[in-house]
Amino acid sequence: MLEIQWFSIVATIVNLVILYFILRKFLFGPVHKILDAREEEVRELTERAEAREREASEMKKSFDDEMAHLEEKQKRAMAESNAKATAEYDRIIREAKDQAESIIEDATKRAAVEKDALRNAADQELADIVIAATAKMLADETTEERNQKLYDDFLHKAGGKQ
Amino acid sequence: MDLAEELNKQLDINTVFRIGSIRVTEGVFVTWIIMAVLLVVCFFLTRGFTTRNCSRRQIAVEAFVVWLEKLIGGMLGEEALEYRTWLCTVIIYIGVSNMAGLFGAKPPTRDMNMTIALALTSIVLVQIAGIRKKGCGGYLKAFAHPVAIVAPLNVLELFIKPLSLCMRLFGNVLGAFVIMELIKYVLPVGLPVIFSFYFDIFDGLLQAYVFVFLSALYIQEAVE
Repeated sequence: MLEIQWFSIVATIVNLVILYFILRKFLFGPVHKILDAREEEVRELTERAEAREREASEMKKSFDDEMAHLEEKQKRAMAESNAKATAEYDRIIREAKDQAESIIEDATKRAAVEKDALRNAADQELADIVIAATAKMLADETTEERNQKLYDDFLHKAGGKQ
Repeated sequence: MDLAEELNKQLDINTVFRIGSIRVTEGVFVTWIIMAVLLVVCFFLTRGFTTRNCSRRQIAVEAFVVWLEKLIGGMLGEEALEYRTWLCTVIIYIGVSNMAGLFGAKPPTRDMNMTIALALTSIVLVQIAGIRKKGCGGYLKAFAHPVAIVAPLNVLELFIKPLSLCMRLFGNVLGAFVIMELIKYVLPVGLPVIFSFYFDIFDGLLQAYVFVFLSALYIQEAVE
């Protein structure tokens, strides 16, 4: 029961060493390999995710910049068109005013011409009446009565005309 | 008395076969079987491993390996982690050996030559670890640590440590076996099953743990 057998001792040591290599090759090796591979995979995924996040934030930043730029541009365009519209409005108003003024002026001139013409016509008529009256007076025998009447007629006519 | 005869018969180291003048004993033979079984089991357990969508088998194997390495790594400490796989092998071998009785084989650890071999490997590993860490000079100087006067005791430890490792393991396995035989003799039905859980499974694993724990402690001491 307690005898020492050298072969058993040596064989057991050799067996242990062989078992060590067996377990290393078929148990610890594969498990470590897969653990390392998984770690590597996780690291890679994390890196990729971080890169994407960075990319996304960069894109967002450039998008925001673009938006700000566009807004600025829009504001400027609005201001420009506003200014243009105001200038156009002013121009139209000015033109309308000028036109109105010239129309008024024309009308005034025309009215003055017409007034002159009317006055001339009236003068002419008065002259005719005077000539006619004179001729009548000269042609008829004049009496005091008649003269008075003529005179009244003339006054009446002239007054009615005037 | 037939119990004594039976015990003696069980404790005798039988020769399975001879190669010339070399006797291949049961312990060595069972160790070969254990190695073959471990090889096949490991081969099939670690097949088709993937990094994602792991099978339950893979998760279990990974969890076991990681747990075992963490356990033994914790005993060894940071500086001696390189001996982790060796001690994992030893704990698996002793654990499986101690439980070989469950499958009707004679546990190799019940053969003192096996425990001598295990203790020898451990103490050689401790010395190698010391020499690799400190160099030859540092290794020799460590014998006079902390004071020169304890050097003989430190040299004596070279023999005491493996002897205690060897005898502790052998004695525990032997004791467990004798107690189990006595229980079987007293009440062959029912009772042995309950005690078998303790002596064959729990005590077997506990002794494997103790052996590896002490070896790890010695290695840690040697690399300090």
